Amino acid sequence: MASRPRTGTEGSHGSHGGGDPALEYVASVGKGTDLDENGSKFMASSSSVGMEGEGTGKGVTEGVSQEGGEKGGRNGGGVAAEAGEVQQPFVASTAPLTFTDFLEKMRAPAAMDLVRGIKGFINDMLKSSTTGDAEGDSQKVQSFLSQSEVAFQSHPLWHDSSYEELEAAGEGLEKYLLTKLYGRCFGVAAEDKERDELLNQRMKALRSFIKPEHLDIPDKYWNEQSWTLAQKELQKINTYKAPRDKIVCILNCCKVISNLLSISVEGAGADDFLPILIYVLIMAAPPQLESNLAFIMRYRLASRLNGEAAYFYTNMVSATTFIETISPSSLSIDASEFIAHMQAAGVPGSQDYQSQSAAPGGVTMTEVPPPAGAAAATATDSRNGVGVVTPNPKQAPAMPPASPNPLQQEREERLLSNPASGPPPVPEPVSLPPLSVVEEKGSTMLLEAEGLGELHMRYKFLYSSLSDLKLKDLGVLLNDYKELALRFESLSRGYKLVSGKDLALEEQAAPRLVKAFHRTTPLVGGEVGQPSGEGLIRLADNPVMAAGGALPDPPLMSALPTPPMQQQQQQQPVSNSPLPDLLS
Amino acid sequence: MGCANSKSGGRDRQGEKAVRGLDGGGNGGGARGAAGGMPRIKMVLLGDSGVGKSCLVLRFVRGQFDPSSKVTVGAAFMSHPVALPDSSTVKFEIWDTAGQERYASLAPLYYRGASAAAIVYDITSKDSFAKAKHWVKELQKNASQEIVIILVGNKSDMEADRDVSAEEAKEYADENAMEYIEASAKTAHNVNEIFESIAAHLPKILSQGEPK
Repeated sequence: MASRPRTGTEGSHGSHGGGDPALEYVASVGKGTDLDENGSKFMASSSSVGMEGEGTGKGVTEGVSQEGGEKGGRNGGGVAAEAGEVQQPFVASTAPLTFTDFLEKMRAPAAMDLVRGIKGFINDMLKSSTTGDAEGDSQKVQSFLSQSEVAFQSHPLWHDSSYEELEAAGEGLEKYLLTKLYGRCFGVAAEDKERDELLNQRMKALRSFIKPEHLDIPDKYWNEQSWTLAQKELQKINTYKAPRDKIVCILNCCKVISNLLSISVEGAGADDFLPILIYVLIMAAPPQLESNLAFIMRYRLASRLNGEAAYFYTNMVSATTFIETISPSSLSIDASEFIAHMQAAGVPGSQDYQSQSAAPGGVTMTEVPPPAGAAAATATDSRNGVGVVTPNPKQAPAMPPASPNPLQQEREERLLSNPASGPPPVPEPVSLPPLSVVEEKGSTMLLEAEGLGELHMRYKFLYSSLSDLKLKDLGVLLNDYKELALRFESLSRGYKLVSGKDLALEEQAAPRLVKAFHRTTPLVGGEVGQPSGEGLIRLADNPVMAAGGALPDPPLMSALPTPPMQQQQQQQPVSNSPLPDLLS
Repeated sequence: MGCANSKSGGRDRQGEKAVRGLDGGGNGGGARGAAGGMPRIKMVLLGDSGVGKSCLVLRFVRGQFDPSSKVTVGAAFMSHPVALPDSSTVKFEIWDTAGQERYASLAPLYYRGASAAAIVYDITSKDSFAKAKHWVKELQKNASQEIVIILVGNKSDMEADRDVSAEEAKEYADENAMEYIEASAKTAHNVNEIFESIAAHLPKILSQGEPK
């Protein structure tokens, strides 16, 4: 955590004094927030819970002026009242709240039980290990928040309170809790750091050359002043600790863009909004944005991350995903120019864009994202892999820039309205890594699996010598052989279809594998399980087998010393002459 | 792009009765009051860029107001109350998506968890209809099983330039068990009906409990 956000010191917000009340609200809460301290320090600039009619002293552009001000100035009161929420986007989501009310209540004697519970929870969290189980932390905080809110409803302190007051209390608790737990919970997960780095790298590279026209942003929206302002709003995200305050920064950024659109064109929608947001994001390049987005998703009470806030949050996730998976075809730019820029900026893997742009439509396929547990591994692999030198970069499809993204899936899942009946994982296009990389990784994993004895479970003849074999094994062997051959064939054909490349073997991988394989300790050998009759029937009917197509050398088989099945098929069904032991 | 707007009295007054005043009933507080009580229906808009997705919504949301009023409306996200047949009301939260090809892979971020989807094409563009079919397939594959999908042919006022016949679209919609409607953001023809149709097809459960 090299660049920990400077958070919450009271003096750090002088720049927008007299400005946006929502921002003043967040500015008023310092890192020293404590239930025991005198609450008056938090009252300096807090506003009322009400969200309508907040005036503004800030008029840099229309983008930042508060909606309340516009409403009063432009519309008759009646229309505005009727228009209500429709005409006042962003107001509810960014409205100031009274944190002081919450702190006041917590100082009341009647709140003793609550205070004890809250402090106990915080202490437990701080004491628990920071092994990076972000999901576990998230669940703990989420359930504590929602349980507390239920407790508030029946607590004497909130007797006869309105919905708004209870909401404000819940917000207050969330803010207090996450301010206290910030160091414990923000940006500590390995996958967050990795994604931050990936995103920063791409943004930095893109910033060096990208122009609005590369995203086809129409001239009429080119407004340096608005865009700069939107960037500044977004960059404030690291100055706040509470999840809601961070969302307010995202919303303020989106609001500036939204206002720019609605001033320029009637009915401009997402077609116009998203490209500008992406451009603004690249230019703003706020540090640790992925950590921020993950933090919001994990620690903003799920039931409050909805509506407008959820929409613009999703847009920010969308923009970061776009940048992280950017390829020449993502932009209206000459592919070679794009590659040159990315290479000049030292983006790992940028040389591999070559083939992607060369292949019609790009080499992409849809793939089911791995389970969340694989987060770190996925992110790491995708970047480690790009360091591999391929003999001919032209033939190597681009590396996936951390494509199937478990973190993002996690965010999506939180946004689901009905997790129980949720759709299957979202397929995402990924570009295929070079075969050599795939095989390299596979062989490493294979050796590990072999060490653990997993191969023995699946391939019961792998450790057999010929003398171990019995006549009745032949049926099983033949079946296994067919199964392997057909699976290899399907994989090979499928790979060729999506990559345009033959699954021809890289010379170096297999021999290395065998060598390593030979070093491993022999396991129990020679057991024979139940042959699968069903498999035999199915395979015999398979057209591929009937056609008798020539098999390319299977990656491992060809390299292993004389696989038993080949020998047997050739002639000697029940020979006693021993074959070389695989593990000798 | 912007929305074509018929200045000559194109405003569809009759639409008012379907949607007007829903926000007024007892929650003068606007968003906050609504957030407290009214069930939210997340609806996503899909379709090629330029088919007028956001214009339809803008027309829907704004139908009851004077079109000459120059109020600020962010058209990417809009929320609007709609009366259900059982006289309860729900709040439509309408998520617009960027229709350009380069953003297609981001769409799942938006449609996940949606209760409803309007897939919009332009009746004067065969390409946009093909794109609409693509979205139908993708939703059938990846979205929630309960999602209510409506196929919307926009620009029904441009009959002379029609490139997709109503019969073809209707047949396709029937095959895929979804509603189909032709509408015009310009004249407001059938705009409210899009949302009424969706509201009528929402599972009962949505009008009772509040989905997240």
